[in-house]
Amino acid sequence: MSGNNEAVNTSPQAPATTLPDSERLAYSVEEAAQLLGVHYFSVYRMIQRGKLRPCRVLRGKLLVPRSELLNLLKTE
Amino acid sequence: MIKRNGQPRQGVAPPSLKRMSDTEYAAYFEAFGLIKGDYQALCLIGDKLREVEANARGLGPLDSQAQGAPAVLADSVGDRSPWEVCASLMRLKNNEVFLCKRVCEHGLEYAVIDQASVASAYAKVRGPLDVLRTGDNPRQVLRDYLRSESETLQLMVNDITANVRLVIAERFPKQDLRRVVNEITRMCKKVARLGFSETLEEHASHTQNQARGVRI
Repeated sequence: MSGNNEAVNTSPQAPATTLPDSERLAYSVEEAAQLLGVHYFSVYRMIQRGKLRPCRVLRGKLLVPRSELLNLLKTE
Repeated sequence: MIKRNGQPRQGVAPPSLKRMSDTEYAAYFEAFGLIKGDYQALCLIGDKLREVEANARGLGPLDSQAQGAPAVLADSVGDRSPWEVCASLMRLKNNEVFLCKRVCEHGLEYAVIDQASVASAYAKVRGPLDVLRTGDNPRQVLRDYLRSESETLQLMVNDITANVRLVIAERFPKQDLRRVVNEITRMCKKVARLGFSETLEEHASHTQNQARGVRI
């Protein structure tokens, strides 16, 4: 609980403000984190808390559907 | 530095597998090279959470954690009192997790809050603060937070190992490399293992017993 924690540098790049036009249906957790502008551990946390519903594809890899990201970024 | 056939391999810890075949060796480095960044993130996040657990055990009055004027989280507006930062639990790029408190009608309320960068697309729509846990007992709040983070780490481990299985199946088709997958899975699980919940519960129970004057 120190206040001088070093930032973990294995994280996404600069955030996007909107989802890019794309024909892609789903994104990896890292890509979703980049689009949301958060660290990818936060995306895993959102999945674990049920805020994002992933789909599992080949061999159990998690993908975040584009529709889920759009819902999350939709202004209520 | 590990050498194989005279070729140095840098930056990857040697596996504990015995008598690896050349194919297993190649698959190990191929797969581990791919997930190395994730593995390092697992190590760092695991270390941060273990640090939180260790500090929570020796937690004094939480009011004393903040030095000087308490920081208040950015969008703490509205009819309720703002969240004051008691301690920073974990800082990642674009996100920082805090233990906070505020005055409510029943007394003090504590929360673990994830603060995203205000410039992020997520924060612009949802606000920068994500309240992960709340309660009137800070140790209980921390314990629940740590248990939840442990589950999140497990989810991350499962995704990393799925990536390992994918890359091995793609680059080394029709070969039995389960030992390599199992070894990398074991390494990831090891660094993601926390096991603090029981310790905190035991500590809380011990503290309660001490407060009641119970001898054990």
